[in-house]
Amino acid sequence: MPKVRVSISGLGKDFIRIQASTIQALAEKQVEEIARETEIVIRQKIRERIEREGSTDNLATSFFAVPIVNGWGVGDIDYLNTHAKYWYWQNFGQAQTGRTIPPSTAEFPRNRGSFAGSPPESGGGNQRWGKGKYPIYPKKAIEAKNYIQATINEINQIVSSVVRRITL
Amino acid sequence: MTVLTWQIRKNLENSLLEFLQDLADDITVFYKGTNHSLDVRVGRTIRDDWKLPNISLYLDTRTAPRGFIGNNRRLVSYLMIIDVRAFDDGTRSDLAEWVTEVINNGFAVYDYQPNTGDPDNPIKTLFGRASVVFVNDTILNSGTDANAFDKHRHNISISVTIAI
Repeated sequence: MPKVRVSISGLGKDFIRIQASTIQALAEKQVEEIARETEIVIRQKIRERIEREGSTDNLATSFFAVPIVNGWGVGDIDYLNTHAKYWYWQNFGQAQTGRTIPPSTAEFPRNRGSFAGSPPESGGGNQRWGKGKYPIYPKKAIEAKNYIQATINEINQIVSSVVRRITL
Repeated sequence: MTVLTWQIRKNLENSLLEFLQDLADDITVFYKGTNHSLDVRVGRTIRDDWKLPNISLYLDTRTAPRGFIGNNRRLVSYLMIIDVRAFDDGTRSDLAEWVTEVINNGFAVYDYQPNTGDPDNPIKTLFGRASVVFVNDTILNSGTDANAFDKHRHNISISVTIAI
């Protein structure tokens, strides 16, 4: 194979430095975009797994891209534990008699409440859970929704699509 | 009129179930002085007849992105979820490692047809071989007051592609 010689003039010793900073800027832009795309995908995975009408969309919107020490992440666990405490149960599921099932149990009466305008029966009428004096005793298991795993499963596609698309 | 054959979801779930059941038949889990057989099931939520130690599995979703730009060929993969439930943290850890080790090299996928003469034993023919990519491998913490099936639980997700 014939050798090809390329000479670059005008940059001198700055060539390597400029190349390195260009690659770094591109990589940072791509990592941020991967996080933003992942935010869209995880919200979509949550929304497509909603079983009842009348969702507040709180779980989906509680997942967002955030800068972290080494780059970007999606789903701040401290934020989720405060604003959408049920994220873990909804994703992984919970057995029928799990005592930590939200929104309340006899052991945690501070979480008592009631369905709007009626005694707590099943919530089957899409009534929202609000202030009240009744605890809920779970009778059914929470079925795992696996929205986190479904998102991770698409990470390669997200990365490949962003890397193809995002340039300086 | 022909009988509807099992589709890919049931084929994959049952193929992995049979693969794990065959291997599970050869091991017992020793806990508090007693040997326990391993209960391997298909299902998303626990049923009354399940017992610990337990491995449950099911197919969650199918993804089929376009393989190449301008090409209609799809790269089809299936997200499968495996839950390991044990008596204590030690057996949970042992079983989770055992599962990841045995499925790492993939498993045979069969095409099943209902067997009207013997419904519990569907007729199977080899369809292909599943290869496995691990998506996540996580200990689940449901708190100390959780149900026995949630106390020592491990979640493994795999992306499965079938080579025909």
